[in-house]
Amino acid sequence: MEVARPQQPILRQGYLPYDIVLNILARLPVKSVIRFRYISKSYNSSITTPNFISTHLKNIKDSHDNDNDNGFVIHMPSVTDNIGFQRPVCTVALDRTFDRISELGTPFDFHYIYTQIVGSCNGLLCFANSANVVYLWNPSIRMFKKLPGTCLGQLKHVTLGFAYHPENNDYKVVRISCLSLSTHEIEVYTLSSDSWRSVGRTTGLTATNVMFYDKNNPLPIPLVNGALHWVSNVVEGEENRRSRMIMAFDVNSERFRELALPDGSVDENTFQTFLALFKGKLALIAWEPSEQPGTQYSIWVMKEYGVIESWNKLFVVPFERVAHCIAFTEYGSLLVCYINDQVEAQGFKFVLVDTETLHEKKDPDIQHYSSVATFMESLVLFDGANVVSY
Amino acid sequence: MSSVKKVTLKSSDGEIFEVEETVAMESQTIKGLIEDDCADNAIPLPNVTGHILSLVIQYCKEHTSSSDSNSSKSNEKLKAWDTQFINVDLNVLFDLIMAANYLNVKGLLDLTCQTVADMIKEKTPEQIRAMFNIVNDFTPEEEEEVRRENAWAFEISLKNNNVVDTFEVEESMAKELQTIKNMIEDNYTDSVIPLHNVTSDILELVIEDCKKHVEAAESESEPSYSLASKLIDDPLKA
Repeated sequence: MEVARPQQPILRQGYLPYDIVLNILARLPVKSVIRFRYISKSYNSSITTPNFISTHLKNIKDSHDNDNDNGFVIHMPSVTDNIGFQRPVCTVALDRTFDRISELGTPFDFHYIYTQIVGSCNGLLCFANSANVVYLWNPSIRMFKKLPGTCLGQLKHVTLGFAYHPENNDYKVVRISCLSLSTHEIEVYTLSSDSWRSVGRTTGLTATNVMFYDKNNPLPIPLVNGALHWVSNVVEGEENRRSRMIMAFDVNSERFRELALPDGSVDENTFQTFLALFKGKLALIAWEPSEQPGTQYSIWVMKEYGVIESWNKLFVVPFERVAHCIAFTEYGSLLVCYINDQVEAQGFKFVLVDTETLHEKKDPDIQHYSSVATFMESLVLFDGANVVSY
Repeated sequence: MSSVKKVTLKSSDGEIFEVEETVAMESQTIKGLIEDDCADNAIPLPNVTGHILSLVIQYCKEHTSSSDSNSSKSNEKLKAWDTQFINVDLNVLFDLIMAANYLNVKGLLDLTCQTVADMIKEKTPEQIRAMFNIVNDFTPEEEEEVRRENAWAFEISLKNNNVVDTFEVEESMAKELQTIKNMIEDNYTDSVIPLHNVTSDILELVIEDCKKHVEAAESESEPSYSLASKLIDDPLKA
């Protein structure tokens, strides 16, 4: 069978200047950019500069603004089924419906049982396992990097946050190690220096005595207004009053700032609290008993950052059964799981609820207790040192 | 009588255009000249032909009126207009890019560059070099090494007619299919090859079979062609 060959357009000799060709290349999907890095040596150099990567990222974000409907999430089982040398498979899905788009194998080994996504910024993901091994991974460009070991002596009861530092166009991982109640050590890793640096103990950074930083499991520590936020148990004043407060670690100044929780949001009956992002704003999710049989999630949003009075209880999501919070997407989808205690079908059962409409999606495409984060394509890490391609 | 200020623009081939000042100022270059008081006579634009200049002026007219508070033009309408406007042949598109760059009309430069980007995203590096007249200064060894390092980016996608499933296959496997081999060798193909006559499940079977053939060839054992060739030939018959 003869295949009809289409006419190639007859083109005058190409004469677009170098900068304009780069302008065009910076608008391409990631896979195309990687393919075209080899058109010539000078383009290869230009494409691997931080400037090009930032321009490319900006173009991706601008095109997302025009497409309001869909963002993406990536989720990964936190617990592997077999103990041992199992590489978890990550799933990329639509954030509103969790409809599966594709699957990606993680290129690095996690030899321990519990792994989690620490955070996601500009298409760069941060992973950590229970042995305190931390990786940075950009699945779109198939590159990853294992972080060096801690610069602190011992690590105990660790919690991690991952942030983009716009002032330096850099990425940071913040690790808080709880040596004992009220004694914490904090270290910060920066991608540009590829090293950890101790930032001191909490007493030097706040006026309040922090007893405990809540890990927020399984949700990632949210980055809002250039700060990573932890709910903390604190002891204040001469009477040693105990209360809960939000400790916000400013990524630029590397200092903590205190923010109050909404009035009446948390009391001795609250089961659990989580911090998350809702449409770019800081959100508090309180899991508590409800008046009807069952439990409920109250979702508070801080409408104006830093203004305590602007905390507003926006949604209440009731459940008849004990429903564990797995994820809360930026557009307000709450993903919970029940433990299925029926003999025929053991395991987890998931439900995705749109908090605005309370519309439920039963059996979304997720099977394991997972770690969930936002996902986007980008070239971040393309210019990195000590990076592995696979 | 309208007292709208106008400026006169003269293209490289001598065509004269009278344009409202607000429209002309969509071009930062012309705006600068007007503000420096250099625009009393016709502004010569030696880098832009009359044909292209008329298109640029059309674009500026459309986009100036949309920033008017009286204008009822919505974003969607403007986008639809842009899509129609930019539906020109590649040579004109390149000329528009050069004009938008020279005249510093940001919106037009973004539109034209994005259009070219959308056209080329599935192409091969060879096609890009041809299109932009870029000399390949990698040695064959260097090129081989970098292709191997990012082999996944060079995978060819085979799409079925419903554009539902895309199969990524290595070039060596795709070449097992004579039809596709021809497409590749004729440089016809972008890296997505649409196969209108083949459904996903047949395509999957065919790919599985090609895999076996490639593996068999590599292990220098006798490949069995009979069943395979039936599978390969039949679905691809017109």
